[in-house]
Amino acid sequence: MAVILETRKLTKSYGKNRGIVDVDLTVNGGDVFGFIGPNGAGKSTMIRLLLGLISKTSGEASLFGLPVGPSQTEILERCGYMPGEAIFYNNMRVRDILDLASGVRKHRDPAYVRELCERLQVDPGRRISELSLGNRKKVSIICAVQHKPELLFLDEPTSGLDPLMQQVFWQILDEQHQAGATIFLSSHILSEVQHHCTRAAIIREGRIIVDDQVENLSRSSARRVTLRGVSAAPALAGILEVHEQTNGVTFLYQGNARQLLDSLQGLPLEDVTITEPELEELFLHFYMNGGAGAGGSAGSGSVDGAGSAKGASQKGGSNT
Amino acid sequence: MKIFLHEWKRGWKSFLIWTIAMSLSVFGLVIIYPQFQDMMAGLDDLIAGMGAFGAAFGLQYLSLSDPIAYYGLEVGNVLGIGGSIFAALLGSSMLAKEEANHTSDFLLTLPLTRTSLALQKLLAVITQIIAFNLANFALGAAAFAAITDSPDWRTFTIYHLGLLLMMLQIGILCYGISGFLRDRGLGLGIGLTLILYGLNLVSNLSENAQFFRYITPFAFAEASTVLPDKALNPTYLLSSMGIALVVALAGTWYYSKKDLAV
Repeated sequence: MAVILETRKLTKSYGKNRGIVDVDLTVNGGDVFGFIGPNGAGKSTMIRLLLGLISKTSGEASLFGLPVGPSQTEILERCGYMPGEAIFYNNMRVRDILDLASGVRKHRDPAYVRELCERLQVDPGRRISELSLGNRKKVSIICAVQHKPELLFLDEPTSGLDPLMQQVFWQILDEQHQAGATIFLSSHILSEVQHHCTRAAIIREGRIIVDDQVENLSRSSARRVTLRGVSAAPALAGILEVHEQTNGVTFLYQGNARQLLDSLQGLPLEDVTITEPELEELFLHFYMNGGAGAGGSAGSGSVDGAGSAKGASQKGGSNT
Repeated sequence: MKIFLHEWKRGWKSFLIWTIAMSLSVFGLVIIYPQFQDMMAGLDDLIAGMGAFGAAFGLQYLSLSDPIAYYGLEVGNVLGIGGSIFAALLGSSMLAKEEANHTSDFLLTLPLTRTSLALQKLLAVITQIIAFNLANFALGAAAFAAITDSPDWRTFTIYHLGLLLMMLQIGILCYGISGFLRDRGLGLGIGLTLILYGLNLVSNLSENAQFFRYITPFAFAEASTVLPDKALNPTYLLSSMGIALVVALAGTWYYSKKDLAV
C-alpha cells in the first residue's frame, strides 16, 4: 500500500520544553494505526503538527506525499479529525456545526450526515450548550467522518462515550476503513488499540520507543505466568514484575521455556497458567523500564522466536 | 464565505443588542432637542467660559443653538464612544476567541487557509460595523429630520461617514492586535479605544501634541472640525487608517504562522 503519512526526524519544542523528538513514522494506506502513550507523551502534539495547527521545529512530515504546511488546505480536505476535547460554539445548534463542517468541503453527503445522526442518536436541533461531553463527542465523530475522508485522525476518541455508543463508533470506523480510509488513532486505552488497530507505536517522553504490528507486539517473547500453591517465583533470570497473590504468584517471564518448566519441577504447584500478556502489560513494562531496556528485553530471549519483537527492540534501542 | 456567515451567526445577538441600544439612545437624545433649544444659547455662554475643558472637546467651534451642532456633539459623545467600544470588542476578540474558547482545533482543521479564514473574519468585523452604522444613520436621520426645518443632509452624511470610518479603523486595528493574542483582548481593545480618545483630547489642548492627530481616528471624525469644514481631514484619515491597516496585515500574517493553543 502507498505511504499515506511519513515523518522523518520530526521534532517540536516549546521553547525549552519537549514536544516530540526525532519522530520517524510511516503509516501506509489502509492501516489502522494506534498511537499509544500516557498524557503528555506527545500524542496530541504529533497530530496537531500533522494537521498544521502547530509548526515543526525541525524534521520533515508529509501526508499523501504532500509536505505538511505548504499544502495544508489540500491535506485537510482529505483528512477528518476528532480532537481529544470536543468543544464547539455553545450558542450554536448541532445542525449549524455540522453545516459548517461540511459546507467548506468539496465532498458533501447530507444523507450520510442524517444517517450518522440517527445511528449516534444525535439531535441536530439541540444547542451545543445543552450537550453532555458524550454527546459533544458524538458530534465530533460526525464532523470527522461525514465527508468520508481518506485519512482519519482520532485523538482519544472513545473517552466520554458510553459502551453502546462506543460499539456504534467502532462500527462506523470499521465501515470507513472498509471503504479505504486510513486511521490514525491516539489512545491510552490499550485494549481498544489491541482490538481495533493493525499497527501501533508507543511514544514515551516525545520519542517513539516501539513501532510494530499490533499482532507482533502482543506476541512478544514475554509471557504472563501464574502459579497456584506457591508464594514465590522461581529463582530464574528473565522474571519481571512479580506480584504475590492469595495462594499464588504471578510474573512476566522472558526467557527459554524449557528453563522455566525445569525450574517449576518439584514445586508444590496446584495450577499453572501461561498466557500472552495483554498489550497493556507490555505498555506498562515499556514505560516502567524505559525504551531501550524494555525494547531490548522484549526482543531478546524469545520463547517462540525473537522476530516478533525485533522492530520494538531496534526502535527502542535507537531512540533512547 | 462560510466563515464570514458563521461569524455573523455567532455574533448577531450581540450585534442586535448594541445596534438597538445605540440607535435608540441617539434617536432619544436628538428628538428631545426642541424642548431644550431655548436653553442652548445660554449653554453656549457657559461653554465659552469653560476654557481648556471646552477646548478639549472642540466646543468653541460649535454653537448648540444650531441643531446640527447639537446633533454632532450628542451623537459624537454617545455614538462615537459607544460605537468605538463596540468596534473594539468586535475586532479584539475576532481571531483570539478561537484559542480562548478552545475551538481552534475544530475551526482551523477545516480545509481553509488560515489567511482566508482570518480575512473572512475581518470581513465580518467590517460588515457588522457598517450595518451598525447604517442603522444609526437611519434612526439618526429620522430624529434629525424631526428637529430641523431644513436639514443639511450633506454635512450630516459626511459626519456619519467620519463616524463609520473611525469605527472601522478601530475595529480593523483591534482585529490586527487580536492576531497576536491567545486570549480575548476585550480589555486591551477598550483600553486602546479610550487611549485613542484621550490622545485626541490632548491634541485639542496642546499645540505640541498635534502629532497624535495622525494616530487617533477621533481626530478626523470629531464634530468640531467636520461640521464647520463640511469635510473629513484627509491627512489624519489616511495616516491613522494606514496605521490600522498595517497592524491588521501584521496580525493576519502572524496568525497565519502562529502555533495555536489547544
